[in-house]
Amino acid sequence: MDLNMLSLTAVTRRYRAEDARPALDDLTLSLPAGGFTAVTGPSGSGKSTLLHLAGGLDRADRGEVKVGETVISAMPEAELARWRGRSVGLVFQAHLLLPTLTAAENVIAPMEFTGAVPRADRGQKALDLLAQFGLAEQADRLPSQLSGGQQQRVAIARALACDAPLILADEPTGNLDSASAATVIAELKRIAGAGRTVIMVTHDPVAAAATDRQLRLQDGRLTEGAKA
Amino acid sequence: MNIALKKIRGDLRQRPGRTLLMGLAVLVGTAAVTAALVAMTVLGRAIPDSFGSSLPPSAILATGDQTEAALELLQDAPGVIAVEPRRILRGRIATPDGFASLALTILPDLTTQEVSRIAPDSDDPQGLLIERSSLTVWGGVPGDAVTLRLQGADEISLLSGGTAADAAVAPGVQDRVVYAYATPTMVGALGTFDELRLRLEPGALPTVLDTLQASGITPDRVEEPLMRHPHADQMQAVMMLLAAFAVAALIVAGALVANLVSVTLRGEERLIGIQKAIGSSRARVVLTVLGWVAAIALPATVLGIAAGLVAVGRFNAFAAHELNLADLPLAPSPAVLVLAAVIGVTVPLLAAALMARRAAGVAPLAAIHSGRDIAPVRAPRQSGTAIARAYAVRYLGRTPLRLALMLLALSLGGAAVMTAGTVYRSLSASVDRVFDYRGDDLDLRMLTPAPREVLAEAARAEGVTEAEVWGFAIVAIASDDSRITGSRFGLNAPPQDSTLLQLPVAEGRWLGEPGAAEIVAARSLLVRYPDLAVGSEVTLARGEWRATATIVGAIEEATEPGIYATAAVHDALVGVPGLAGALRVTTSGDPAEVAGRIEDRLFADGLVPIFVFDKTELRFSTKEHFVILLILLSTVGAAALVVGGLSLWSSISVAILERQRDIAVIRSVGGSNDRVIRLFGLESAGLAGLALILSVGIALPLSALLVRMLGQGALFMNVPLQFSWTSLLIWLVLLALIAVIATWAPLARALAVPPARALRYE
Repeated sequence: MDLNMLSLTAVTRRYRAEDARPALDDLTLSLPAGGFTAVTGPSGSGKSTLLHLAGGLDRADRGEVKVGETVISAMPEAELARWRGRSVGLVFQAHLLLPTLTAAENVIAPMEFTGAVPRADRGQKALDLLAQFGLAEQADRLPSQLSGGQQQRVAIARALACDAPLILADEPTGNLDSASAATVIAELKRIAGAGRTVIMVTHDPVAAAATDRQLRLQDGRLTEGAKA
Repeated sequence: MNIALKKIRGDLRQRPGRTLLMGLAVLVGTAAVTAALVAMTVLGRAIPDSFGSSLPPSAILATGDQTEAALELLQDAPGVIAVEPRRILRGRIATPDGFASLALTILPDLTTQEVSRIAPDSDDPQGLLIERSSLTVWGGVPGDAVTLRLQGADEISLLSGGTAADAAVAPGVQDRVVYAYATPTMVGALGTFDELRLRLEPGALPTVLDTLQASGITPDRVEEPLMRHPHADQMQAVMMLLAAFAVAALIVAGALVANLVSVTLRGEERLIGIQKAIGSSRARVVLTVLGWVAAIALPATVLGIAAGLVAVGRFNAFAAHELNLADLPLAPSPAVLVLAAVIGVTVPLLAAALMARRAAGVAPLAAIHSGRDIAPVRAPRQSGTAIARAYAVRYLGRTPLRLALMLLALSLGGAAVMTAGTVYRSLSASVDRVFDYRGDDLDLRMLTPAPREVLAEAARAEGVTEAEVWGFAIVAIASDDSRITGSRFGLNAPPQDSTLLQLPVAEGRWLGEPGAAEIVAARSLLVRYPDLAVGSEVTLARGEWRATATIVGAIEEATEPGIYATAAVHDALVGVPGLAGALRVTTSGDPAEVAGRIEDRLFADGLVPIFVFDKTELRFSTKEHFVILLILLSTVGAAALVVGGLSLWSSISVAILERQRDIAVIRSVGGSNDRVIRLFGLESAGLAGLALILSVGIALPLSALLVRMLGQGALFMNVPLQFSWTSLLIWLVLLALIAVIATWAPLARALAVPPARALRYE
């Protein structure tokens, strides 16, 4: 039985044909379900590309991307969008909350888009999630009325809205002060501890040190850590 | 090249779509203003000039067989600038389809007149002249033989010697009358003059009348014509509407420019912040924006003026035809063109300056850090679960000025189209309503009263299913001293049991017993005589005959002003009981053919009808008066619609482009492409719906105002508002089409980009 949450097999991603070096170069790896993994490496090493492929936000030029039992690399776009909403929670460096929706509405949005949560339960679930992150009082505030750390915690709450088993975080502390960063890392660690798989791209050695496992990428290839 | 110019050049290259949209908006707005300004100045000058060149009479005296004597007396009388004799013979003229009404003016000389001048197309006409605007009614060409039926004469055949323009008459094609001009020798015994036309010094008329009186000459009638073109008021109203709609088109264009500048600057907020951070002043930022807008507005204004001149050339030709004016010169004064150019450039620059000033006022740091996350003005009171609606409403609500400008632009365009349709439909429906009260198919009116039996016998022609013999006479209103003054009107005396007329009375009541001295007057007549009202007494005159009657009611008629009278009033004015002047009949076949048969029977008895009204034709020609209005309003409405459509297009496109990142976020959290399309489709539908509601909200009161103005001013009746559902449907389809295309194109582009790439741009 395959217990891997993420498997990449000979994956290559090249953004422009004229690029001498692909963003990911024939990369093969697998990560088991559960735990908190950090993906580190210098700028341009392919960290974010790896995360985008794992989250179905981008497509590989070659190779296979498998999340759990699902091969997503050949999935049609409409199916991929549905899969994304139910199977992956994404957290970005720039938070990327929808600016005209309140914190609660941002958390409700994926539930509504995917239909993963019954309509009647969405509001309460959003409030519960926000409360878990200490944001119950901020539920009706717009992103612009929240601090960076609060916005990032709303983004994490949104990532958990549809109970996705895989959480992908791309530099989640990159825009935060150290105190807020510590809070966010603690939250992600707590989520991983609760049984989900959390993969975090980061430059921050302190954040990386808080994870269970580290992968280091260099020029689109793994250089150390867990390798499949 | 300095940095500012480089920036402007770069802006033009980087934003071809917005450059094109802005250019188009300025072009259309300037074209509308140019057309309105030039048309107003050219027509404003041409109408009085043309009418003045016809040397209109300040008085017309019906002097009958004393005309020659009166002419001799007045030729050198004090206060008289010019005096000439005339006779107007009413009758029929042969056309390819039968006969048409004829107004034949007999004048001493076809080429030289000092009063009521006509403009022959030839210096030496060798026959009767046909007024240019009547040619299509006559159906012949100069040089053809002309067959006339005039009362008291056999059928006359003359040669048509050419055409002439007469600026003092309404277009013959509109009135379905052939105006013709001949000298006395051409018509033999009928060529005696019976009236004098005078151009007088101001206030000289009483002296003239005294002079005649002293010699024992009392004119049967004294008319002081209105010294203005018969359609001058109508055209003035049209001009005002044209100007109002042109201003609306310009506002719409300005709104679109402001909108485009606003969204462009939103996208450049960070750049503005950087510019200011490295030392650029607010004014410099504004000037750079104005440079970009000016680079578009200047050539667009030039093209707009050219387009406006082309449009006004066509409009002038149309107006000249409608007003029976000579070909209007397209000679706009330089001042007008400069004004159009100034307006064309200034409006977009002002709109741009307003937006640029706001955008450039942001503190550098705030601009740099703001990115695109601009908060709405107010946070919502409570989070809701209708995410799609909340997302759309709050996005639109956070730039209320832009939303307002876009809606204004769009709504004005739609409102213009709906107003044009509604005004025309309302006027047209009222004309229909008035004609529906008439049960006859044909209305034949005699020049002079004839024995009732003769008319009744003529009505036994084949194809007549029902006939009524009516009293009819052309009468005037007599003044207190029993002199006849002012215009003449048709007096109708229907049988008391008439089934062919069921006119609703707007005020007072319908006629009583045949023996009562009562009349019912058209509102249009009462308007001309402010002293007259329902309940007042009036003395009517026809030649030597007088009749005093009480006005018992007022009616609304869309046609010429008229009077309905009892038999007693009619007989008193005709002088001999048992005479009648009109036939109203219903027909079972083609009314024109039936009319021909009746006419032949009448002519065999020595009678000639002066008018034969085919109800269908009359209804059509009455409505034709409003066609120019419809065309004008529709044209300007279409211009406003183009700009409004561009505005919706740009707003929706920009709203989508601006939120490419949002689209990527929505897709990354599980929103499918279909979901995104529904989300933005809902927003576009909401915008289009708002624009629809607003445009209806503008169109309804505007239409009501115009309908009221035109109804009372041109038809002298209360015209109920009849909303044009067709124009609403046209507008709805256009709106939907624009919204779908404007949404689909940028959305398809945004959805084609993988979410990861869209998010990477941040």
